[in-house]
Amino acid sequence: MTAQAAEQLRYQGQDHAMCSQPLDDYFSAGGACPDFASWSTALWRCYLGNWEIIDGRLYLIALRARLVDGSAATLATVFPGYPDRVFAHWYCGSLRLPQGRLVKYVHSGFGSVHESDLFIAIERGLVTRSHTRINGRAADRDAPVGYGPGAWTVLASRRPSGKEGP
Amino acid sequence: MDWLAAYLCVGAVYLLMQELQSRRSVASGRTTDPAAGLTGGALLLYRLVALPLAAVLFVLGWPAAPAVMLWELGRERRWRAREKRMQFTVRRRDLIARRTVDDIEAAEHVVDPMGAVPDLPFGHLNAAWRQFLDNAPAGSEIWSFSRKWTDRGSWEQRWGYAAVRGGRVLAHFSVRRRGLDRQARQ
Repeated sequence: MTAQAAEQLRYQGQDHAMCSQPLDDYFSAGGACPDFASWSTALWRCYLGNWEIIDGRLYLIALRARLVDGSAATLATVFPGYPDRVFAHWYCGSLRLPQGRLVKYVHSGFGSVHESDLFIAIERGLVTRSHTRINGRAADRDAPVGYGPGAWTVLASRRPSGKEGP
Repeated sequence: MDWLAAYLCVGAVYLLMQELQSRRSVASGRTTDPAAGLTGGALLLYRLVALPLAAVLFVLGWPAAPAVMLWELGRERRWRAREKRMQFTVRRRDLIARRTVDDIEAAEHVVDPMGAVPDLPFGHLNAAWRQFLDNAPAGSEIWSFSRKWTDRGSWEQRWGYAAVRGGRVLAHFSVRRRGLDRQARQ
């Protein structure tokens, strides 16, 4: 399995790559899941979500995907009537935000290891605590900073337009 | 010699039956034509060499075919059983307490100061909840449940509500889940 593209989270005024998939829990709980088309081996979940934590609450603020009929999917496709912001009240668990330089690249899932991970614990969409785990130091001072898959195959005809990346 | 002729005859008939079945399967769209996508030299090679060679080998070694078929059937049965085991279910011992719909809907009402959730029980999952209630068999009780469960090696805790009748869990609605793997516990 190819290393997977991360979700994006805006937290305390900074943008972070997020190696957690809170929207999957929504679908797992019975939330309606549109027929997303797969368009990259680095994105088997078939969508990219932008998240934000404001006042200790987790929100999904944008979604980028393509449906099997070729049309673009947005937040309103999954949550009709909520095109700009959705409170992730269904989510309980930990959000993992890799920080610092890459210590070890793993070409599978969210397996790569960075110098540290910021964990944010969420209970029914509310932040309950956060902590940082130190994983080690990158031996190579030129190691890339931040999370990202190293390689992927794009199924170009199905790729949503608008941004670079998997 | 008669035995050899009979053996080869059975093989030829068996091959014919297999071919007819394969054509029906392709025509109905259940399987794809193995030659689909082949062009030019590759198609010629397939038709003039691969197919006749396969036919000869089949007629010579036809008793292996039912054995392979039986092995495939067994594999499919094992795969289905494994898939069934991997489907999340709620057992009697996972039930916590009997609840009323009003009580549940009051407890599961979601509020958001930014108005990013419907003002309904279970918020964005209200439609799934309504569907669960609509599909719950008549006369069933609603119980809360919690179960530790593993799907392909990763453990998680799931909470939700189950429709129970006569002590049997007939349907469930999973509301929340939490990963219990090492990383999530840290």
